[in-house]
Amino acid sequence: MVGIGIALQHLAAGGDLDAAGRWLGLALGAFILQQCLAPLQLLASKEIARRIDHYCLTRLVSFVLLDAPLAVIERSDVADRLSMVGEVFEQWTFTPGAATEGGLALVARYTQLCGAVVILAVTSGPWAAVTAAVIALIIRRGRSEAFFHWGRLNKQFTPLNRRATYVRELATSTRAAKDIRTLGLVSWVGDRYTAEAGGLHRTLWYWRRRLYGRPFVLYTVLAMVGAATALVIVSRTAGGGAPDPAEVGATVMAVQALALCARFGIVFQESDIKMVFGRVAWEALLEIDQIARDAIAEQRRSGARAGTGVRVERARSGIRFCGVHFGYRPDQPVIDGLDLELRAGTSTAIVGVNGAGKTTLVKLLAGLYRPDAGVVTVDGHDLRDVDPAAWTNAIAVTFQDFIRYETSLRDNVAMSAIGHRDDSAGILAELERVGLGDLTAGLPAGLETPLTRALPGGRELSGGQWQRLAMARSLFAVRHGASVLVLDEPTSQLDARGEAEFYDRFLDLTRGVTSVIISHRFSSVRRADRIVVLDGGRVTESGSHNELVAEGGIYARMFAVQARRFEHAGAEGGPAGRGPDLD
Amino acid sequence: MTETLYGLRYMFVLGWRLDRGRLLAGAGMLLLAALATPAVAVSLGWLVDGVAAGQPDLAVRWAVVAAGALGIELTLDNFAHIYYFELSELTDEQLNRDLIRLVNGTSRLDRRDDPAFGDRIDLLRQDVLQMRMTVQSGLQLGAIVAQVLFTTVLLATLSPVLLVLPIVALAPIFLGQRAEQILQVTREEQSPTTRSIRHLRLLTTNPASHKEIQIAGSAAYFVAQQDRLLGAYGSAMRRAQGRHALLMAGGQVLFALAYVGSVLWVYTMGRRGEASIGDVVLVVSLATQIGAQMASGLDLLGVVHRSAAGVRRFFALERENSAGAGPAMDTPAPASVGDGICLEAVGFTYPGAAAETLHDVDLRLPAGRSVALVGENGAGKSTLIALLLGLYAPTRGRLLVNGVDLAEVSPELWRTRVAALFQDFAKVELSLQHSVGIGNLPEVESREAVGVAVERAGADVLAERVGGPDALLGMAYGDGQDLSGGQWQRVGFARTLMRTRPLLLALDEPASALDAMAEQRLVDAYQAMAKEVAVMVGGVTLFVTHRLSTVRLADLVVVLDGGRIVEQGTHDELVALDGRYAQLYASQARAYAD
Repeated sequence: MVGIGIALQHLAAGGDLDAAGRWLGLALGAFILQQCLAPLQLLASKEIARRIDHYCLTRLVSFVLLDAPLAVIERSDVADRLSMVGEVFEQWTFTPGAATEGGLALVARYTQLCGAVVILAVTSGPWAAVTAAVIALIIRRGRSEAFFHWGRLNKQFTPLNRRATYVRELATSTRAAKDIRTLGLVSWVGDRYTAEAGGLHRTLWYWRRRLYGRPFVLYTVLAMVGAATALVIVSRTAGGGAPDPAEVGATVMAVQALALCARFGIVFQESDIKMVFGRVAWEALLEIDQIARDAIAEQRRSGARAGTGVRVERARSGIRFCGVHFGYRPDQPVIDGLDLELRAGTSTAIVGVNGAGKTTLVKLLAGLYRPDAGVVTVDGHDLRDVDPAAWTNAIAVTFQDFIRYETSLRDNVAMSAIGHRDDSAGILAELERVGLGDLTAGLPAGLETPLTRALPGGRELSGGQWQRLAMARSLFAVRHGASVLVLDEPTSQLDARGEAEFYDRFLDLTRGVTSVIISHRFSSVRRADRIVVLDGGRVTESGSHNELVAEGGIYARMFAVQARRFEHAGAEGGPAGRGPDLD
Repeated sequence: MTETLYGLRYMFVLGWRLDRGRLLAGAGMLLLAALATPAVAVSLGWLVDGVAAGQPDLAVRWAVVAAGALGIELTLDNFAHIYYFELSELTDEQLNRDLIRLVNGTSRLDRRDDPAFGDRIDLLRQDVLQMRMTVQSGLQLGAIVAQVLFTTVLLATLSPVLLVLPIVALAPIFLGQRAEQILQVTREEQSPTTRSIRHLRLLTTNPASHKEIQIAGSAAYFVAQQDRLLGAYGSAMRRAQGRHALLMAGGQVLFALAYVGSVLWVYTMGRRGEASIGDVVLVVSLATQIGAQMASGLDLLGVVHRSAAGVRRFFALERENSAGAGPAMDTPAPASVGDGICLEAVGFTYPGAAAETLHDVDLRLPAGRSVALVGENGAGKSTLIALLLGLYAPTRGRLLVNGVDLAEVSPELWRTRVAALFQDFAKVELSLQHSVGIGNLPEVESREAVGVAVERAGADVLAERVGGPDALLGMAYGDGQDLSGGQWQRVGFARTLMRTRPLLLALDEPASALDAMAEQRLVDAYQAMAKEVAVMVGGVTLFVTHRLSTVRLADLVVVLDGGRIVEQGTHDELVALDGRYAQLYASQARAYAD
C-alpha cells in the first residue's frame, strides 16, 4: 500500500506537467489515506502483539502449574529458561508479541522495497533496478548480521555484566549499608566496581569496534559506488538534448525509488531490536515444552504408572513409606531406605540436622516426587495409583518458604481450598485459632484488604504474622476436608511468646488429623504422639519424647544441648556430642 | 527547561573531562550524517534539473554527489555510535562510582532505615542508567536540531509559504504527546492489575512456590485468574489505544493537508515558471522528512529532560550529604575501654519518626565482661547496638568510652575499634577470601589472616568444601556455591573475627532456623571469642539473644522492653526477682522441663 502510494506520488508529481492534475490528485489522496491508516495499522499490530503475549503467558502458567511435574520444573535447565521468560515479561519490552509487531513492520518495509525496485526497472531499465536491489540487500544483510552477532555476544557479556551489577547493587542498596559503614568499605567497593565495570567495558569496546568498524567501511564504499552507478544509469537514460516530459517524470520517480533502496540499509527501529530480543522468550518457551515432553516420555518408558486410578479422599488407616529411596542426583541419595508409618489421627514430629531430607520427605508424601525405589502407600494404595487431584485435596502443607500472596487476606487464607473462598466464618475462625483473631479489625477493608503495600489500600504483615497466616491457610484446608496436616518449621519466625503459644495450642491444632511437624525447636515437637529422628535419609530413632531421651541417642543429645542451660546450676558440663557437620 | 540545560551542560562537561576525543568524534560524525539527509534531497533535485535541462554531464555530477551523501547518511551514524556509546559507558562508570560514594557518604546511617529514603536511592540508581542516555541523546538532539534548521532554511529559500510545513508538523507531535498521555494514564490506572499479573508470573516461574500451589490444588484458579487479569488489562489498553489512534490520525491528517498544500504550491510555482521540476522533487523529499525529524527531536528532548531531572536529584543528595557532614571531629578514638562503656540518659528517635525508640537508657557495660541483651521483637535491642557502633548519634544523652564522649570522636575512627555481626549481616557473594577479608580491610588480600579467621570461626571444613579461598560464594556475582543459612553465618562470623582486638564486640544471634547442633557450636564459638576479647584487650562483648538458653553464660543480663531498660543483673538475680525476665525464661524453659 505504501509502495503504491509513493509510486503514485512520484508518477503524478513528475509526469507531463499539464496532464498530470488528475494523477497529482490521486497521489495526494493516497498520501492522506496512508497517513490516516498508519495509526490504525499501529492499533492492529498492538492488538496482535497483546494477544500473542496473552497466549504465551497463559501457556506458561498452565504448563508450569497444570502439566509439568515438579521434578521437571526444578531442573536447572528448565529453571534457567523460566527465569529468562520471567525476565522478558518483567520488562515487557521485548516480548514475543513485540517480535511479531517487528516482523509485521519488516514485511511493510520489504513491500516498499519491492515497489521501489519495480519502479526503477520500469523507468530506468533492469540494470539500475538490479544494482539498487543488490546494494539494498547487501547493506541490509550487513546490518542485521552485525546486529544478530551482537545479540549472540550478549550472552558472553552476561557474566561480566552480572559482576559489575552485583558490586553496584551491593554498594548502593540498603542491604549492606550497615556493614559497609562499620567496616569502612566505601572506597574498597568503589574501586571494586570500577575494576569490574572497566573489565566489562573493555570487552564491549573490543567487540563493538570489531563488528561495527571495518565491515562497515566496506559497506559505506559499496553503498557509495552502487548508488553512484545506479544514479548515473538513471541520469544517462534520459539521453541528451531536450528530453520529453515523460522522461523527466521517469527520472523523478527513479531517483526517489533509488533513495528508498539505498536507505534500506538503515537501522529499522520499529523491528530490528524487537525481532532479535523478542524471540528469546518464545524460544525458551518452546525449549521448556520440549524438555518436559521428553522427561514425561522418559518416565513413561521407565514403567511408571499413570496416577489416575484410585480416589483417596482421606487417609483412613494411615500412610506408609516402605524402603523409599530418592535423590536429586543419582549418586547423592537424599532419602535412603526410609521406612515410616504415619498412623491416621496421630501426630508425628520429625527432627534431624539441617539437610537430613525432611522437606524432600514432605514432597514425596504429597506425591510431588516419585520414589526412585520403594513405595509410598495411603491406606494400602500405592501413591502412584492414586488420583493426584484427590490426594492433594486430602493433604494440607505449610512449607518453610510458604507463599506470601499479594492478594486479599481472604484469598491468602482460602488459597488452600479455593473453592470455599466465600466461607468467611471459616476464615475468621482459623485466623482466631492461630492467634490472629484481632488482625481483621485493624485492616481497613477487613478480609478484603490486600496484604501488600504495592496494591491500593494494602497493608504489610510482619514475619511472625505471615507465619501464623500460613498456618491458618493449612487449617482452612483441614476444615474443608483435608485429613493430613504437615507443618514445616511452623515457629521459625515467632518470638519466644509465639513459640510458647504454639506449644500450648498444639493439641487443639492437630486434633482429628494425621499430622507431621518438622522443627528444630523442641518446644514445638515435644507434644507429638511420636517423634522420629531423620539422619542420612532414613529413620534412626523413633518413639515418644521420654522414650527417646531415655534411649540416649542423637535426639537425647540434641535435646540436652538446648535444655542444658535451662537447668539450674550444676547442670552437666560435658561437651555436647558433635553430630555430623552439616550446617 | 533551565534544569534540562543545566543537566546537559553538566553531562557534556563530564564527557569533555573524561574523554574529549570520543566526544568530538561522535558529535562530528553525527552532525555530518544528519546534514547528509537534506543534502541528498538537494542533490537529487539538481540531478533532475540537469536531466530536464538536457545536460547529462551536470546530472551525472550531481548523481555522484548524491551517492556520496547517501553513503554518509547511511553509515556515518554507525561509526559515530561506536564513539558515543564508549563515552556514555565511561560516564556511566564515573556516575556509579559517584553514586556509591554518595549513598555511603555519610558516616552515620541517617535515614537509611527510612523506606522513603530507600525509594529515593532506588530512583537514583535508575536515574544513573538514564543519565548515561543524556550523553547519547544530547548529541543526537544536537544533530537533529541542525538537520531541522537546514531543512527549514532550504524550504524557506524556495518559498516562505513552505514554512507552513515545519509549523504544521508540530500538530501531530503535540497530538501525539496527548495520545501518549492517554496511554500513560491508562497504564497507571491499570498498575494494580499489572502488579497482580506480575505477582502471578513470579509465583509461576519460581519453583519454590510451585509445590505449595500443587498441594493447594489452586492451579486452575491461577490460570483462570491470570486469564481474567490479562483480559481486563487488554480491554482497557484496547480502549486507550483506540483513542490514541484517533488523536494520532487527526494529527496526521493535518500534516498531510499541509503536505498536499505545499506540493500543490510548488507545482503551481513550477507552472508559473518560478520553480523547476527539481524543486518539486526537493519539496516532496523534504516534506516527508521534516515531520519525522521533528518528532524524533522532541522524543530526544523528552529523554534529555527526564535524565536532567536525575542530575538534579543526584545533586540534591550531594548537597544534603555535605550539609549534614557537620564539624570535623578530631578527638582520637579511645585506646582502651578503661572502666567500661557508659550510656547516660540516652534517648533516640529515628529521623522522621514521631515517637522515641529508646528512652532514658542508663547503662554501664563493664570492661572485660559479656552482656546479654534480652527483649521481645521491637524492644529496641538492635537500635541500642546501632548507637553503640556509631551508626546513629543519640538524640539525647551521652555515650562514654573510658570517659571519652563518643560524640566527639569521628564514627569512622571509633568503628575501627569495634567488631560486629548483625542479625541481617550482608551476605557478600564474592570470593571467600574477599567475603571474609573485608572484615579488616588492611588485610583483605592476606591469605594468612583470612585463613586464621576462617579456622577460628569453624568454617575451615566449609572453606575446603567450596574449593579454597578463591572459590565464589553464592550465585549473584558469578556461578559460585550456594550456602545454607548456617554456612553463611559461619562466613559472617569469620569476617567479624578478622578484627582481632576490638574494644566492643557486638553479636546478634541468627534468626534463621539452625539445627540444635549447629546453633550450639555457633554459641560456643561466640563464647570463646568473648573470653578472648575480655582477656586480650579488656573489651566488652554484647550479645543480642532470642533464645534464653544462652543468656545464663553472660556476666550481665539487660532486659529491654518498649525502649526502656526494665531489669538488669545476673541470670540468678533476675530469676530471683521473678519479673519480666523470669517470666520469659519460664515460658521457654517449660518446653525442656521434664
